[in-house]
Amino acid sequence: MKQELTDAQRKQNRGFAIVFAVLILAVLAGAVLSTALGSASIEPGRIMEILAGGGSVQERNILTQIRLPRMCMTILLGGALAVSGYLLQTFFGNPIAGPYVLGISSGAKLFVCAVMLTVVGKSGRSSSAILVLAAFAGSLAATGLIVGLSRYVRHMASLLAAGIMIGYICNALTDFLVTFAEDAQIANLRGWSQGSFSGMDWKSVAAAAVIVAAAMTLTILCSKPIGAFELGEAYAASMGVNVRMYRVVLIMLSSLLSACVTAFAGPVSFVGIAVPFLMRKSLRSSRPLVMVPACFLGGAVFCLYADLIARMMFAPTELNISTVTSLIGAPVVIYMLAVRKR
Amino acid sequence: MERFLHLHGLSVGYPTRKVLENIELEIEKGEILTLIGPNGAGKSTLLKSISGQLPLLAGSVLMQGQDLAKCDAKERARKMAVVLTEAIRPEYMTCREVCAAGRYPYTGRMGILRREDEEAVDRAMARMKVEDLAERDFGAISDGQKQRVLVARALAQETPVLLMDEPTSYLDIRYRTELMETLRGLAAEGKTILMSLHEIDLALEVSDRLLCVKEGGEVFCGTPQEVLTGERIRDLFDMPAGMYEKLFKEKAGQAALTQQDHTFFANRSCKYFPCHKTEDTDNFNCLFCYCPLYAMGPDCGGSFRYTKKGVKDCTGCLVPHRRENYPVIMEKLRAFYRRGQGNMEPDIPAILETVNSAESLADCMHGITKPDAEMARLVRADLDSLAMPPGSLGQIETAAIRMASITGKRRPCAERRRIIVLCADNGLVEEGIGSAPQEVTAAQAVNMTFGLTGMSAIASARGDQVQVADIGIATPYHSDKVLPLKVREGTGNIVKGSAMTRAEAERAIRIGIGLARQASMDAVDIVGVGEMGIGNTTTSAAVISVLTGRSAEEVTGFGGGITEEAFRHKVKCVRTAITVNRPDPDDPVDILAKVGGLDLAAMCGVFLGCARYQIPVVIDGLISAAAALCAVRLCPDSKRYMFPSHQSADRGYAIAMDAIGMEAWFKLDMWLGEGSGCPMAFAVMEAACAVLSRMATFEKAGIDDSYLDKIREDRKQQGCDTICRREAKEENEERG
Repeated sequence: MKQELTDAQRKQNRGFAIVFAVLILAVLAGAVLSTALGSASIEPGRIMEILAGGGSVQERNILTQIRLPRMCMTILLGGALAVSGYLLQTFFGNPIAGPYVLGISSGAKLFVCAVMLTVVGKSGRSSSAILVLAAFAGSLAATGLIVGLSRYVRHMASLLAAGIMIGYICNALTDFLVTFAEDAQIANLRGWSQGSFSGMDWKSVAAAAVIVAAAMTLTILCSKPIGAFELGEAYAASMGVNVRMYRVVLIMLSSLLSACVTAFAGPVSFVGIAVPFLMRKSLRSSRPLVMVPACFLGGAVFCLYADLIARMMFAPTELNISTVTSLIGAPVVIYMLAVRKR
Repeated sequence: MERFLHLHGLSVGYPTRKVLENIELEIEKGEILTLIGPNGAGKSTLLKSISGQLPLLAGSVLMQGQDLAKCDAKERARKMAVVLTEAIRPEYMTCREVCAAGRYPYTGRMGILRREDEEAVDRAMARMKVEDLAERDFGAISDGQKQRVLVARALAQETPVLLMDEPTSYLDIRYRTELMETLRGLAAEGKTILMSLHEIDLALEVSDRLLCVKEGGEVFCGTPQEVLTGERIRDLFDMPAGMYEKLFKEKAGQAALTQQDHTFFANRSCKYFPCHKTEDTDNFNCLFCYCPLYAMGPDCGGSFRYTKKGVKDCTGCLVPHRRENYPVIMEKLRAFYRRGQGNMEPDIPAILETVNSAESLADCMHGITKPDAEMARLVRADLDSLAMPPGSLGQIETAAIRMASITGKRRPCAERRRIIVLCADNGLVEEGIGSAPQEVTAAQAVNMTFGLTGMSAIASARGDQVQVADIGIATPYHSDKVLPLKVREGTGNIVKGSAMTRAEAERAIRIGIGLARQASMDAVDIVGVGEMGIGNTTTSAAVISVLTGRSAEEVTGFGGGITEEAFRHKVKCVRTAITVNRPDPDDPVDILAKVGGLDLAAMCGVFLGCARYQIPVVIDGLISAAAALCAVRLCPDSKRYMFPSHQSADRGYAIAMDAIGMEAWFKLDMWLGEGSGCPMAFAVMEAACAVLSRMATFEKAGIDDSYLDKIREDRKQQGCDTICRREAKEENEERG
């Protein structure tokens, strides 16, 4: 078993190749469909033509100002969510760990709510800079709390429970704030908190791209210690992993990714839980070098199609993205919990 | 061994609770240190603190002088690998991937395995015998298999130190034993192993030292012997009365043995002490300056010769005579002890009882009857009905018939086989005719009880019992197994006078009869008669010469191996002895007393006793034949109970056997004595019993044997079978 691969390894590599091929195809297909379909449908064939210069201004605008940014954002944020979920699950060794569950999204929501109510004048779903910053701040605050707690808590299970509690607290605080809100603001908040990929502009895409790219690069660079964590903290430490530091790094990366999503698109549920699970099952491996790209692609696919459904199902009314992801994602999670061997 | 790992002033525990404090311990490279103690005493805490999982409360862990706390995690990972008790649940990881995780400290940034990493993983998996689990999902295998994979992972990390917390938890007895052997191998290669074990017996077997961690923080470190002799385990676990004794008594006894340095390895009262090869008495000395390992073949690896002082000059031993090798040598001896002797400790008082209440010679001879002729005829018929050409198994058939008629059992068995070895010294050695110093008698007598001599090695390999009796050893020795039946310390010099008094000779014969009686009581099926006594080939020659009337030159052989000049001297001694003592050729007891030996007399008694108690008895070589001849002359019927074995290369043997009227069964050019021909003869007798009890008759084999009727007719005409014919002839001779 020297340089040559065993049959089993070759079989595994083949499996990987198939999965990745499928994912990439799905992303491409989804991208095309997202761009093409909508209240004003454009034929896929014509997309390139329009971009080149042909077609009406209106069509070009739809494409360049609405559809393309939205599609790019969906891919970026969907991927980010999935990877964020993967990181947390690896770290906690728990399949239902996710940014939503840990209260990070709830923290973001709390801050957004506070900002919405205090900063008068802004409305609608547009992700204005302030809301984005508020969401970021909220996510990171919640993350900070969790990291702080992790120093005093011995078991990961306890940390998970603490995160859930933080989520509850944030939700409670949010509800508290909402009691003093006006109807319009409540509606806005509610709209925001369901999450949506609409209203994206290229500035947001650029910002998100930078953040997500940076986080993803760091994550891939951390694949070795992430793999070590698969054996548990005790063994990871004995193998030379600086557990303390990586604890913080992993949570921060995860939070960065999910904060990014929450900031731009609001809380999107279940992607972080369902996608890593599905990817692990189809790849039959938990190697980070393989899982991280796969999760990204998987998340992108998931969100692309979910967004498509959200837009097209009851056109012209747009469903909230969380509705769709929950309706698809929750059954997956239930199935996963029921079928898990241990 | 240099100090490799140093636990210095270590206090371990948790912020709220100190579990152990001020631990000071130096561990050598390649040492196996096992922590034992009750649950909750702090073994895991200590291990986790050494490995770095738990922060130390005080003190430091130094490896080759370097403080581990100051190393970064990666450096530490290259020094220490762990196997923990916590269960891990990796998702979708194959066993190979789990093992490969052990290479973490060596792989590059992205954790890709290079060829040397893959090879290390292969080696580790092969060592733990988990290669066939390589592609299986870790979560899908049993706990024991997981444990082995985790040990393999730690091995793949290729660190100088291995820490294991209860590595045998889920392993079945086979894998547990294999793991211990693997650990021993690793320690021999220089890996230092610290582990905690619940199984005390494993810990005692495999460890170089034990660290006993008691609740309350008391810690004791010592070798397994020290732990056992100090009865630490009772204290450690707070065992109720009687429990410790029941579990550890035997082990403690064995441990105590190694502590007495005057028994096996140094005879300080020996006049050759200390061995002139060793300078200081701190190194242990040979048993009577005589290394017991020389006969252990490849285990000894060396050669020896006698020096002028009579000391064995061992060279090239694989296990040199040093204190450090005590445990190794003791272990080897223990293994030999376990393997041979049917593991019986002789019940000496009972045997003495039996021997002391043995019949007198006269009563014994009176009680000897002829074997059962009717049984012989029945068994002959049985043999004829067996599916083979009649008589084609030759002397095996003869043996079968004789055994049946002797024992009175139609289907005799040879399950319990005993070689009785009578040891005594001869005063004759002062004439210088002995092939070796007189101390060798005692030394070999003891070695025989351990299955270390020529005869006893063969016997122990075959499962024959060996019973060694001291009838007259002259030099001091110490043994729990040699029967103390000494009549006197060595005989007189026959060249100058009698070997012993008549009373002493009779006493020796009675002892032999007593031993035969003991064999009968122990339900021994067949007995072989051996001896040990420097100089007894000379006494045997003298006895044979007198009994047969042949000259000294005719009967004297080369004995234990002597030069031409010594041989002439020996012949002269024999002649002189006979001339000086003038023994009565018709009185075997007189002959034994005057020119014989205590061993010869006792052997004679064994032959008579076996005849008396109807046990088939085997004649060995020259000395055995001489004694058998005495027995036959005392009581002719005793011959019917005797069986031959090998044709001794010594000249006198042929003459003695001719006088008895028996032929050897096989010729192997042997002249060792000790009873070394008996095991092979036992094999023939076992064959005889097997033929009778296992072979199918023609009927059972489904063969129509009518084609043999003609042969049977012929033989009937010739008259009976050879046995019946010969016995009939002998009876006629006696009457006539």
